[in-house]
Amino acid sequence: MPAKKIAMIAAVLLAIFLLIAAVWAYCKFMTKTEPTSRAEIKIQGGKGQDIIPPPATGNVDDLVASVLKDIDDESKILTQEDSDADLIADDSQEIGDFGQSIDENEIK
Amino acid sequence: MIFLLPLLSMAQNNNDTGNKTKLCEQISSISSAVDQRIADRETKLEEKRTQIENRIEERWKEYDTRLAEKREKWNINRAEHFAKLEEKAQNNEQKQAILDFKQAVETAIASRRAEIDTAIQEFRQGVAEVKNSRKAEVDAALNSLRNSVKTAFQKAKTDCEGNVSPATIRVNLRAEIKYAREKFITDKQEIDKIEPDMKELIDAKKTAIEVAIEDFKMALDEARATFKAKMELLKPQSPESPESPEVTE
Repeated sequence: MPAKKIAMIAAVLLAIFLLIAAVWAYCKFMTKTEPTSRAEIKIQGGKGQDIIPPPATGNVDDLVASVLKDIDDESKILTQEDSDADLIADDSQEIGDFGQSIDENEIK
Repeated sequence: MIFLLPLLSMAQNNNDTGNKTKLCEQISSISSAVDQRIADRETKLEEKRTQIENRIEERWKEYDTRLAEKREKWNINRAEHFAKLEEKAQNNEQKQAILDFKQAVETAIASRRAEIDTAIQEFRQGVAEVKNSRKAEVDAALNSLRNSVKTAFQKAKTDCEGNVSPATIRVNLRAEIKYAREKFITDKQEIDKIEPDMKELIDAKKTAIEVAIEDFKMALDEARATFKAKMELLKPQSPESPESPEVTE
């Protein structure tokens, strides 16, 4: 078999291997990045909002700055439960349905 | 011709009786169907209420967990900062000044967190009260609907047994049901207006948190100023002495 042909087969095999590897890596990446449940979305969202504490330096102003960042980090959570108001009224549809239990036009 | 009048009257009476029987059977059947529909919807409403209750509880637990995690993260970081600061102390007086500063900061943080926790608890208590109040109002509106409908059908059934024409029974029943249904819709519109109550709770929580943070910042500034002043006084006089904890103005 001529060397040119062998080189071509090797190149094709290499291309196929690289293609498979790329597809596999892509699938793995998608599995990791796409959350599978609402709970996971929530947790990821929560972590994404976290502020990373600054490293200790032995400087008092850095310490104070770090303590102040703690407030910013905490504040992010504190407003989240304000939206619980929507949950309270989540039974509005079920309550409204009672009005359809009876219709005077049914009485002919 | 006159002799035909009693016959015509009899025919009319027979026709009325037939209509009345038909109407009264229909009323009885509709009454049972309505009872069943209301019972089915009560089950659905109870399921939804339980679902809402569980979701709120879950969310509050989740907030608490995340808040505790964040606080712990910053506790660790703060401990590291203090440890570094302590490493640089050159004598017992400086060590004591750092300990005093640490104590002041920890007290201020504990106070801020306690005030925030109270604001959260008060908010949640308020939310629970709004929820319970809404539930009571909904139950009252449903009772009113249920009783009005029941009374209307009961009256129609009594009229069916009495000397009331089918037309009158029909008109009265339709009017009473229409009134009950429309009243329920109006009641529900009022019940749905929870935004002002919730806004009040949200604003109260926001203000309480802002006050807690402002108080904390003032306490922190004061602690830092006191610490810096003390460290300035406690600076070793000898030029050969090792570096003091970094205190910048």
